[in-house]
Amino acid sequence: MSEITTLVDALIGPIVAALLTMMVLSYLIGDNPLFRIASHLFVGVAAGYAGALAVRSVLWPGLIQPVLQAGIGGLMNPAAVLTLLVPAFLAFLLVLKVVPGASRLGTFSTAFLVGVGAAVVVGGAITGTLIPQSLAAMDTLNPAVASPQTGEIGLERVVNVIIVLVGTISTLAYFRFTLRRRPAGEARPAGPISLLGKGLSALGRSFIALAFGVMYAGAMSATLLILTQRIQFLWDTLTGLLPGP
Amino acid sequence: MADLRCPMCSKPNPEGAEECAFCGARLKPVLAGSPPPPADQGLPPMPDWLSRLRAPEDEPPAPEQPSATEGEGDWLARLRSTDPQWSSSEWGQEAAAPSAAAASSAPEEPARPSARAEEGPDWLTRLREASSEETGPPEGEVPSWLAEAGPPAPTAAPAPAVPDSGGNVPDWLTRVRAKREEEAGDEQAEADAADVLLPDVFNLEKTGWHSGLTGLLVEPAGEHPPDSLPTAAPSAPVWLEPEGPGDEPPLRTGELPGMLAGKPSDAKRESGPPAAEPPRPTGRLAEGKPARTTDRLAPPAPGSEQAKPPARSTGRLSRLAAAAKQPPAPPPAAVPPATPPEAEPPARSTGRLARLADAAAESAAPPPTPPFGFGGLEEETGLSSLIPAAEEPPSQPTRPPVVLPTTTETEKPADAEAGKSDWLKELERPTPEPQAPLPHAPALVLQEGESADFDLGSVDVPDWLTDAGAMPSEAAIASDARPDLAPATLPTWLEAMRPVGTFRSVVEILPEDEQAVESAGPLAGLRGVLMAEPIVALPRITGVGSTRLSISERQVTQADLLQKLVQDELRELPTVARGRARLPLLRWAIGGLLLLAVALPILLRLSVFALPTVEPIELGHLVDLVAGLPADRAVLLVFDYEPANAGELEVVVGPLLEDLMSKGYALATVSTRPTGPPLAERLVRQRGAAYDYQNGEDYVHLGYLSGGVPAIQLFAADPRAAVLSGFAASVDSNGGLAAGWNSPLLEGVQSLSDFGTVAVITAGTETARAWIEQASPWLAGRPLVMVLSAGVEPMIRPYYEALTPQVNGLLSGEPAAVAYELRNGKAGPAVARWNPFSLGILVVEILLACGGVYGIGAWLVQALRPRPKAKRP
Repeated sequence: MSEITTLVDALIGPIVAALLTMMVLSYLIGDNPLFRIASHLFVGVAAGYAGALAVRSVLWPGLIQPVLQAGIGGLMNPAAVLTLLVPAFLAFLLVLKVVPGASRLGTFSTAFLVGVGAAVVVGGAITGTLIPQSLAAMDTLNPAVASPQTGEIGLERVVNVIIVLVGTISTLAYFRFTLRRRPAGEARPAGPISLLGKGLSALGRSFIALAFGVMYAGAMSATLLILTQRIQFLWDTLTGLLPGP
Repeated sequence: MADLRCPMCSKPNPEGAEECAFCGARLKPVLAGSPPPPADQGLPPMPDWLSRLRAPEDEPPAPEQPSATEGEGDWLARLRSTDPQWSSSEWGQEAAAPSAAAASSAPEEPARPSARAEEGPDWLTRLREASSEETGPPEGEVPSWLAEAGPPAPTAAPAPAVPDSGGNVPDWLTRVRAKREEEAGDEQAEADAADVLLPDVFNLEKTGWHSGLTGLLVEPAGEHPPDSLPTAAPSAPVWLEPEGPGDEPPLRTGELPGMLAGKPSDAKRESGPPAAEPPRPTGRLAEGKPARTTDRLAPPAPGSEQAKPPARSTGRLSRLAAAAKQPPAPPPAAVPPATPPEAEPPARSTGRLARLADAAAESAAPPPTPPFGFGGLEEETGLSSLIPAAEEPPSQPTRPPVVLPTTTETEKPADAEAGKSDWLKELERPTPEPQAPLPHAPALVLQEGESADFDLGSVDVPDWLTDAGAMPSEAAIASDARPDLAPATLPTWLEAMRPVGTFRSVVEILPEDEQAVESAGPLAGLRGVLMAEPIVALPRITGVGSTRLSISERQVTQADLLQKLVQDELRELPTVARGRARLPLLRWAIGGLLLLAVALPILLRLSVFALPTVEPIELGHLVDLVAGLPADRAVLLVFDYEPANAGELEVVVGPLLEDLMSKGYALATVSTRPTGPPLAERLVRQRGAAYDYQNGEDYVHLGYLSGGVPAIQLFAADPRAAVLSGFAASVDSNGGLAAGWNSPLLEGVQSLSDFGTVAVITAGTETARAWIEQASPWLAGRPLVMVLSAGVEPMIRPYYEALTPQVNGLLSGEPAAVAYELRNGKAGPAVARWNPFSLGILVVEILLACGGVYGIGAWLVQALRPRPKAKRP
């Protein structure tokens, strides 16, 4: 068994992987069947693996095995009812979603999932992002205070804080359309407040652009690193298959 | 049983009937002096005027009905006597016989009428006297003047009047006929001048109607005192006028025309026409004059008066027309002022009635009474003025308006026709030719020569009609001011609804003569048609200008744009010729460059770029953090990335793993993705081989955490409840599967804070944020490390650089990995990929620069190029 594993890990695996890599990289030429085969193969394998893993790692240890171990008598336990029967019933209803005539029955399970997920996400967003980040944006401008992570202190930190503050305000201002129009459709001439708003909006647009640029740079860096790793893999595979001198 | 003929509709009715079953007319005319009908018969109560006519003394007893009838019908008998046709008819002969018998009792009766004369009007008294002298025609028998309405019968020359044919002709009829003969010539001339078309039905001459009534109000000279006769009111109907002077004796008091002489004649009719009772010849027949047969239904004999074309009516209508042309006669002084004042002098009747009137005026001033004894109704209603002054109609025997076949007077019922009734026989007899045109009322149908215009000024119009005609016109009414009436005021809302300025509020109605005649359409030829122009037919421009819309330039522009869009939809675009597929050369070029840049250093083992010497700031903190982790606590590694990101993240997390492994920290892996545990196994096994890390002893895989974000929160709160089984379990030394929570490495781990640190390895922003938001509250001060992809790091850095950071360690990117590997003192994949990575970044930077330059240049060129003028639509 270990020999097979070693063979797979040392020979078959790399060859298949190399071929699949080449097939995916063939998209550089254009859409071709090799690329499609590779992509379909990947989707299928991933779905199959996920399904198998879900059954092995979730359903079996979480639902089937406890029920079998508890037995009928054990299922009468209120704790078993809540932890086994109710989830089983909800899972069964969720499976009915694939049945055209009974798909409406799975709506309850879907609604339960969506409701719980939304509540968790919203609660976490508020307590984990909105409040802390808002507080973080209102950082002290005391130059004596040093940044704990970056170690910035003094003017550098103050400038950084100001930049962050201005960037935050201007970004939020960018998404606020304050320009009003007359009933006839004509735009109202800009006033001093509207000019300030226009300035902040433009500044916020700049910060947004910088953020997108940084994100793009990071994505590009990551992609290049991935490409490098693939090329390296291919070369290593190729050189491993080739008889070395 | 013989049927009774209705005098009105000529339909047979059962004998004994009082009223006609078809038209409701009385079958038995009420005679003056006749007893009233029994009350049990259900008849309506007798009006007063009729009761005045009928004095209680005039009501003969039932057995004496014939005698009473004879007395009351004397006036009719006189009328009929003047009609030779009547005398010659069977009915007349039959009536003449009883009349002769009744003549003996006539002297007795006058006493009664004379006595009664003082009670009622003189004319009525005279009527009664006259009626008491003579008897009427036999009941049930049709007089000869009715015979003309019967089946055609051969007309025969009027037989010479039999002076005393059995003494059956009443005297009154004889007198009437005599007068008729005298007036025949005068009426004929008048009839010619009248030129009134009348059908034979209305031709009283032919029907003999007038002949039966001519003696109604005429008092024969010497026979009756003038004062006893009813004054011939100038307003008496013309058809009641005598046909000539001295034509027929007037009706005696109490004597009514045959149609109204109900009881006597009805009694006779009810008893059936006596077959053997010849009609009493009166009038003409009594005088020996030939009876005139007037057969309205029979074709007139050639040469006879009936043969004349019915081009004119000779009678009342002619007299009316003639009277209209004549100046009105002076009204008699005896006319009572009961009638309302008339606007125009009424027409005067000339003839018998006029003579009667004159005689009455000279003697006395009896109130004018209608010929039928209607009392003063005629004057009251003004009907007397309707009678124009016309010449006396020709003397003809008056006949009731019954259409019956006529027979000649010479014909007598044969033995073979003994079964026939006398009146029927009378009908079959040819009616004698009228010697003079019968008076008749002017017909409604115009005859030749007559014009539609009728001078109403010559007609005596009753006062109540003249008052109506004298009403002021509408214009006069409108023009007259009425101060007592306030002008109508419209409410405001109604006034507001009033259209102003859109059409004419008042339509001027022109006189009919001035109105235009419609020349087209279905109303062509009509006058007074509402003009369609210019209101309806022709278009018009409203006076009030319509409100204009205020359109802005923006609206105009939008409208033009919309119009252009619509036009573009309709416009056919030329088909673009499918050209050759263009090769993605640019893509190939860029791709080739990048591959070359990455491959060359690998293939050629180029080391062009120096390793970075500047470490990221966050690397030092991370290294310090890792160094300060408790050694007895496992480190939780969360592998939340896809296999596609493994090439980067494995390079970046590699140094961290080696650092942890080098320090001997136990590792626990978990993943919220199905592909996470295999990746974790592969990486830890690969990197742990150098540190001899074994599954189940040095690291354990908790497995797959299903549920997404809620599962993260559940895992943070109760890790053992969230993850039930491990992954890639290995067999421990005892032979059991050391997987998941069964591993001794996780002994004592009940919550997330029991881990030394939590390192989340992810390439997604949302996954990182979810772990930060859900796990941070449960870490209880334990550090949270984020190993992120280069593209995610900017989004998570705020969590790291906050004053109260939620992320305690941050590792991201190739430079950080290289630096970490250099800090660890062991060159790993990160260092090996530095040159390709750097060369690739360099190529990308060059390409970006070139692209930027190209973009700026293109923008400048486009800005400097003159813009073409926009074509106006």
